[in-house]
Amino acid sequence: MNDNLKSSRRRFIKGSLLALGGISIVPRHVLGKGFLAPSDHLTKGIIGVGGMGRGHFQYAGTKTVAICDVDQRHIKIAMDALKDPGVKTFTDYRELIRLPEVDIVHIATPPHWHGIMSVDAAREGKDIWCEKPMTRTIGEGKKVVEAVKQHGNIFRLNTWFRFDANFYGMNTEVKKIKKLVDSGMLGWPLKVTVGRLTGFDWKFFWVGRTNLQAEPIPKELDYDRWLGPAPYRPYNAHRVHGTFRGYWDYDGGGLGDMGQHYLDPVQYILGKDNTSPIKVEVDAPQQHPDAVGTWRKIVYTYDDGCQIILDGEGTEEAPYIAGPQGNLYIGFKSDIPDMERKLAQFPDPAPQVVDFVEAVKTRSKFALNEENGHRSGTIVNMGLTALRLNRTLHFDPVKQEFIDDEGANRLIDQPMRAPYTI
Amino acid sequence: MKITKSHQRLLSVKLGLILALCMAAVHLLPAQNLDVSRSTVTKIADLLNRFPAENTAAFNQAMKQLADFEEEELTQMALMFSENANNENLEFALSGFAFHVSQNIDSEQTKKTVRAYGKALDHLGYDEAKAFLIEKLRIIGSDEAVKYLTTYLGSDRLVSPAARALASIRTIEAEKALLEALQDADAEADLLPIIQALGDMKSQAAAPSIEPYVLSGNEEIKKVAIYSLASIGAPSSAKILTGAALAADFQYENTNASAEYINYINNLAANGETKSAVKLATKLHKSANKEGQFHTKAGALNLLASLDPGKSAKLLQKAAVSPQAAYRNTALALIRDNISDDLQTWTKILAKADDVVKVDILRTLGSLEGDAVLNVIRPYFQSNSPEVKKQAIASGVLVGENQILADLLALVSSSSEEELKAIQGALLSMGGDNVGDEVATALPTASAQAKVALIQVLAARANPKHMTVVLAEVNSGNSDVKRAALEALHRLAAPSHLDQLVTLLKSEQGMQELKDVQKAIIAANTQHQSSSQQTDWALKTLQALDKSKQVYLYDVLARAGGTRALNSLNEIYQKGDAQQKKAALGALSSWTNAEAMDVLFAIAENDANAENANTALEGYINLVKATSSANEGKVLMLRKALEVSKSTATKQLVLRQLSQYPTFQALLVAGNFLDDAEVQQQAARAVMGIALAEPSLYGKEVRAIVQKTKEVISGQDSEYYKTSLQKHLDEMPQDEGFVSLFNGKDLAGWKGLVANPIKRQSMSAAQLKREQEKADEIMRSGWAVENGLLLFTGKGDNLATEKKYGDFEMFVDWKITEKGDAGIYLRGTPQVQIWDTALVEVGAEVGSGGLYNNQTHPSKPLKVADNPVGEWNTFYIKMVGDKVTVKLNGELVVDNVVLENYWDRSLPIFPEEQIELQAHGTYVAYRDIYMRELPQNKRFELSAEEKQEGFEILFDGNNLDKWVGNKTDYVVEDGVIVIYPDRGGNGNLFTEKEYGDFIFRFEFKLTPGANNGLGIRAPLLGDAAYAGMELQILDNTADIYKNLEQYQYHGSLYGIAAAKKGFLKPVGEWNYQEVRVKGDDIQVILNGTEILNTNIAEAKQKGTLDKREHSGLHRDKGHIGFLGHGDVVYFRNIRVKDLSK
Repeated sequence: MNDNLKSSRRRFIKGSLLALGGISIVPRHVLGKGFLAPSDHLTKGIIGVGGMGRGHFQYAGTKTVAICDVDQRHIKIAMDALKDPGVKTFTDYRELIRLPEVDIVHIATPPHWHGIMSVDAAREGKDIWCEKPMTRTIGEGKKVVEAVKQHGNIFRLNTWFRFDANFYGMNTEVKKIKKLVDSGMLGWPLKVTVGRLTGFDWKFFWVGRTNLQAEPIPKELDYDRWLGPAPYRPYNAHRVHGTFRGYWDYDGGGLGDMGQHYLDPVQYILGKDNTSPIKVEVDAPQQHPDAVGTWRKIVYTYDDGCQIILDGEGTEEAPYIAGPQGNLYIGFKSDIPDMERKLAQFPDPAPQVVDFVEAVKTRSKFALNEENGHRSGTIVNMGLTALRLNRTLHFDPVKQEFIDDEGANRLIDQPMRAPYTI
Repeated sequence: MKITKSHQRLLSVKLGLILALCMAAVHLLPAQNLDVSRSTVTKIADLLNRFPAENTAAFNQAMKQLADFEEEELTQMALMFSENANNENLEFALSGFAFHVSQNIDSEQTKKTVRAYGKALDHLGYDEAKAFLIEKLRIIGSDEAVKYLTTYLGSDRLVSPAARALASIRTIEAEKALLEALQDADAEADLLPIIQALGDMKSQAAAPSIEPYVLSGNEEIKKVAIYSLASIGAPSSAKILTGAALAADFQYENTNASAEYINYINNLAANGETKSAVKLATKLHKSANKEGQFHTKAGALNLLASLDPGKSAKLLQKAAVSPQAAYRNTALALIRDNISDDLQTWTKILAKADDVVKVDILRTLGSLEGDAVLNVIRPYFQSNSPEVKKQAIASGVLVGENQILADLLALVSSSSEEELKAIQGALLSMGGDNVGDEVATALPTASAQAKVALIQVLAARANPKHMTVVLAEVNSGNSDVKRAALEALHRLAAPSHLDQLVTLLKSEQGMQELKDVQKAIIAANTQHQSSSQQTDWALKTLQALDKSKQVYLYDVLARAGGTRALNSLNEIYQKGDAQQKKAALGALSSWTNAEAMDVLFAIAENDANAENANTALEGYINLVKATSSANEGKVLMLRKALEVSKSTATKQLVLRQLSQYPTFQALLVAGNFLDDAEVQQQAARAVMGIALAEPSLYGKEVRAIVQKTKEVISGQDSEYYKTSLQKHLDEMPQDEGFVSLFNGKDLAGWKGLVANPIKRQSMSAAQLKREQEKADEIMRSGWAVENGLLLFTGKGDNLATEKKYGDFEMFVDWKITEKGDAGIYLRGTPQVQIWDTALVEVGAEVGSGGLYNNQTHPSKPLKVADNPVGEWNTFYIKMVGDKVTVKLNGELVVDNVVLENYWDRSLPIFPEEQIELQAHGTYVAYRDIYMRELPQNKRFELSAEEKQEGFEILFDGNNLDKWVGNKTDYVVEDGVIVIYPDRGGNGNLFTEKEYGDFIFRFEFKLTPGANNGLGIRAPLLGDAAYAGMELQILDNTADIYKNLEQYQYHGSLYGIAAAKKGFLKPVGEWNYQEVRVKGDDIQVILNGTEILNTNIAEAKQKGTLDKREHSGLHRDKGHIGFLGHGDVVYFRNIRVKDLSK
């Protein structure tokens, strides 16, 4: 194996490398008093109990003790499902965050709230489980990274593809792909294509509607609080539950909502966890300023020439990963003869901490945390920004700003509607 | 009408070409001045119709046009917002342009846009439109924008967006505006966004004015004031923010005072007040000591580490051993990069620390490098605390990599299961060629528990040379070791191990053990060079095994593949006992290529055991995608599976796959299941996938299916799906599309065959009627409808459609039996051939689909694309003029070939006739017969009356011979002139001849918002609307034209005389128009109504309505032409009578 390649690839792993094996402590309330039994449950409060939030009641090793939603209908459905009258309910997430009995704040709201709530939970010293996508803007992501670092919290961004056993239609665990890339067998730089033929169909149809007419606000919904930091717009049912993904103010369609699932593992595989692409190009119809539309293709380029291609039409007959010395296809097939056997002689990637309860108990960084989560979220947001502006953008991964493009940078930092601040 | 600027620019760009040089010159010369005479409203309307842009090129082109707009014109466009109307195109245009110019906000173009939008802002009547423009100013604003935004700092609804826009603008002017507004604000609601914006922009000047609000009784104002002051970081705020943080008890509450205090100190330092910042941070760090305050203490530590690195080192060391885990780990993260410099100290700290702290320190050491660091870690491999030991191992391998191999192997036999996991993880992620060998050496003497871990490491490395040591452990008395060894076999197996593996297969008895050995045999055997060698080995070995062990070789055969393996397994399946059957079926249905499909289908169709049939069918369905057939062929296979499917699961499987093959038939099939509750949702998703992937599928039937899908689709994301499906329906052409010729129930629409077209022509009506009755009688004896299929039983004559068809596309599925022979007559003429390819005596080996009776043109198909006799086949047949195209099962077999007239070879094929299904004495089944009629290129002919009056045809549906000019964008299609905006042509289309007084008759069809014009007495040179005269052709029902002047509506003499509105047919229908021009009199008769009757004498003398120079009024003759190629518009049946003759 090529030693240079090995050490350069492995160095970045170290920054986020965590404890190995299962140390079982609950230090939260009894910090420093010793190692605790693995059977101890962590308590959590869930903000946003629509479809996504309700799906996480039963995560192993945790117990839901509080829920929060701005829609009373959601609260009612959630309480029925929880079958525990002791669970506290709130409409203001800040009250839930302040509960001393809550260890973990679980954020399952639409993305325009993720930044504020993550930062506020960090400020209360809580550990955080935040659903993907990380934040709606690059600016908010930076704030989350800063707050978590400041207060010493454990943060999990919830997409699991970077360590899942059946990584999106590749029919293999991502670890093997990572190992192949780290082995150098494919060569460098690499080109990763994500589309229908390589594992994911972007045609999610998560588009918004234009020409929305104002409708009366349902009495069970606190619409103003639902909007929160987002600009005020007259209510229409299509903006909120279930269909909010189709509007730029809250999310960014299929790419905004699902993109991080598929881009995060790519960052990990390519060893780009602490950086970002330097360029993004789009091929798309013009986007409406309010409603998200479809797109055909998005291409990201890193400073070393690696590329990620998002094939929105599902027509690219490309390998999942193309390299100068070989290609990897869906199903872990390769044009390198006897690839799997050759690969076996290489070391595995370093183990990751993939159990959130363990991460919290041992104060270890979770495998997908605020830092690498923010970086993969940045790819999503770079793409969305380029789509909206309909032009190629250049990005400085260190300053985390677009280069020579004031309009793009004003989409990185979007002032919030008072009194919401981050 | 009006040629817009972008078209003119396109002209000059494309004109490098020498082609059509004369036309080009005509348009080039005056181009620069043309737009001066365009009315703004027209320019805007023209442009709005281009949005949303389909791609970046179109977007940039539209942006160029907007860039040429005057400031006032942009303003005028922005003022088109209207409450409760559809402003969509306007939003696309205004927002697109703002985004477009946002890249450089200092450019003149951007400033112009700011002024234009700002002025519109002042005049717009309702808040949502204003909020829209304010957000655009947020993106593109500089000082230029401030004055427009300032107005709204006192408005309840708009203060918030305006303040945010100013915060993004961030200039001194913006700050000044906000500061003044802060002084003037009286409503608390207005204060919030203003204070926040000042904070967002870090306005130092604002601090003194904001500070008092920290004491506000209004919690929101207090919160925003604290946020802003923290963000500003002015020294004057120290006292009040310290007080607020204290009041919050250094914990989180609604005003965020505690966390913002940390931000404040940070920003204070950033503003150069480091000393004060350190002081505040030190105090905060000391004060926050209670449980519940440690995250604030961590924040303070963070500050100190960056503000005062020298003094904070001690603090950090102390914090690194704090019992407060979050605080401790914050410290360790901060100090991490300095640890290597002071390893001696840390060795001591580590030695003294509690175990929980040791773990954290060791974890931190793992992120460092170097032998010295490894030496600090190494002693803890022996720690008595399992947690410490595990972390030491995990960190040790990160730092020392291969150097700790010996340490780890020395540890294995004394380690617990948990610890072994850590060691194993370390060994797996460790590089180095010696790892496998050393592990193999250590294995025999290791403890049982350690053996398991080490075997797994060898398995992962998959080096066949370690097989021997692992094989030895298969005989271990310890069941865990044995299990691990068995599981490892397939990773290590090579062909040289096959004998040993067969021995194991013979000796082992447990099912799981045997499965493991089987897996290893497959792994070893598939490394044999050829499929044939693999099969040889498996068949030979099979014979040498007990019956009970033979089953384990079935999967080995399946993986070998090939006909021999397939036949052997099929035979075993047919003749074997229950156990053999099950195993053989499992092997067959795991086949990896299409060769097993027939065998699997036969089992699915015939096996009485429902479970076996189902398994086989699933195997068959899964292999469809592995075939090389075209989509049409794959759809036939899936339909075949549906016919024998007995389970919901297989139906669902088929429906899921159908969506991958977006054909007309796939859509129809999926549509059939929309009422089937068990598979409705899979059907709906299949329809959606097919319809959206293939917009060319449209028509009445398709529309109904998509409509129904939209109604029934449910579950997650269905609201989005409904949105997309509705959009698809909205965009779907309204044509009838393919219609069914066979209703599946009876012979409605069909009749018996009477003679041939020539003979029928010669019959009298009465004779034909008599013959038809006889023929229908014969038809009923030979043709029948059963189970939805149209069957020919072998007796009688051809079946003919009642209707005649000229140009068309059709789909038809057919199936024959052995020796079958049939055909499809097009326009009453034989035939597209159908036959059993085994009929070599008549030449059938060439395949079906050929034009069998052709003599001078090709009669054979291009390739054999037939499915085996007894299987369904699907034809796509297209006939246009005398030419025929045929696809069989998705493969092109006849490519645009002339169909000769069989009945009289001296004649061309009949222009239209019936379709016939040939009766040729053998069984044929048909289904899904669909027909789409194509408009025929019928030559337009003058009526007798017009002939007599002396009309001349200018366009009869065939060519543009009597026209000059832009023949790139103006093209003839299906007998009609169509204008395509994007083909890159230049200018307009004019008659070759000039006309003075005339009657001009034509038909036209508009698309939504389309805009064109009829030039009269026009020169080839210059803008015909002024240099000649122009009669508007326009869809003035479109929203974007609502601001047009009367004299711009359809039929108006542009700029001069207004026509009556309201007589256009709905968009998409043909209009008939007559234009009479005689001397100064001009009349327009639209669809029978006179909409214009004007005399231009007055305009000639006193000027026109639009107050512009119309030199064309004084011309007495010129060309007639179509003006504008920006929109799709259709023209046909054009004729003129020259009155001056």
